[in-house]
Amino acid sequence: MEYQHIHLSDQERERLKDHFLKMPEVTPLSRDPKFFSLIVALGIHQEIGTIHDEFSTFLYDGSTGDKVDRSDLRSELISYQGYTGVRIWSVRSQHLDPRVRGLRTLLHPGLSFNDFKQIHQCVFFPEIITQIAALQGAELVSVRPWGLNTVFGGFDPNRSYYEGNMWEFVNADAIRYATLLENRQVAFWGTHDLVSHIAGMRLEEWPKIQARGKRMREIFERYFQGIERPTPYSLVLPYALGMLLDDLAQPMNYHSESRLSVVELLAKALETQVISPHATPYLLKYPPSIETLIQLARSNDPARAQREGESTLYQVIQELGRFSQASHRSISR
Amino acid sequence: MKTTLFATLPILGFSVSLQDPALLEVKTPTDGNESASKIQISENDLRIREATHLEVYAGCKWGKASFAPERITSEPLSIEIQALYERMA
Repeated sequence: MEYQHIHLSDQERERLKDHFLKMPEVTPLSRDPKFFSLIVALGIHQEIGTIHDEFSTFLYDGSTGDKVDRSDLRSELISYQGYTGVRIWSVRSQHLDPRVRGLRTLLHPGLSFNDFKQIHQCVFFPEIITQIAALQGAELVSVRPWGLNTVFGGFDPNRSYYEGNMWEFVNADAIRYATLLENRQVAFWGTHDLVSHIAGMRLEEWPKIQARGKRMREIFERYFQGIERPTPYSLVLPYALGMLLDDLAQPMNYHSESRLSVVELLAKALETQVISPHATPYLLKYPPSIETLIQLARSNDPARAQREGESTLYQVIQELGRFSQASHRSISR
Repeated sequence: MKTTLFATLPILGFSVSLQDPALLEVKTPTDGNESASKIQISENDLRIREATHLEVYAGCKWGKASFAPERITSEPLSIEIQALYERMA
């Protein structure tokens, strides 16, 4: 099977970005599958082998069982039969073993598997993946501000986070994310989306995910109402809740009772405004207990999460008070 | 006009509490005899300190896989997915 390498010049990338900027904030990939295939393939390609590469986290050598080092991975954009995709291979391993349930169904079978039915390279076509996700009840979408912060800018392969002051966006992103879940929509930009949300997606789980998305959207909207620029101090709890919503939308975590338990505590904390969204103090140190709370949620030990969740959340709130300093800044519209 | 706040700082041995931006006294740990001293810090310095700390901490934690690798021996394609790939050719 023949495929062709695609090279994008800087000018072509700029033209893609210009076209992308004209899109609505949330656009189904199916609205312009050829254009978005190129964007998504580019997003995956840019991440492969970098600190953002979530695909390599789950990639092993099928012969030795060793973990494939991400520095051994290479990728390129390809064109095949009018479809744009991304090809990923290892310079050290000819037999790849991606250890994520559902991922193999997203690989092009003819281009990824050799005659011995081993995966010698991983070839993905976003247009086909969009259709596979639709079979599982999900609409893959582009979210313009997230695309601008990833594929089209603010991307540093050597830094452990995307640039930009993310704290400016947590309130908008929380509402946006919950709304996507409510609408059965999943953003598709790069390796995290591919590996953690799309692979293994199941149709029968969507009613619960949708209901949770709706409920959380309403909670976030009430919490942030009338506030244009909430302070990091008041965003710590919503941010943690957003993280766990993302966790619960990962097929491997669909039924995680420990996460659900902590999500309930955080939702209640926002509903009762234990930390006021109008608060303006400077947060001079991130509360250490938030890590404890997140690890508790991710422990997959529901009994322990039930037992320790409230006291850990209480610690977080105490620490927020302890590590903050009052200010005169304005946050309202 | 620059706003100046007297503040306590989250340095080891000090405690910080949410206070009205008036003059605050910090009890510095010494040899057992407590003495008070004041630290002056501008609102702009607080803003910078907050931004620096949060940039390093918060980063890309939202949107990360939080499950373990699982070894899968094979995953047959459903008829519908097979049809999608066949249509490509």
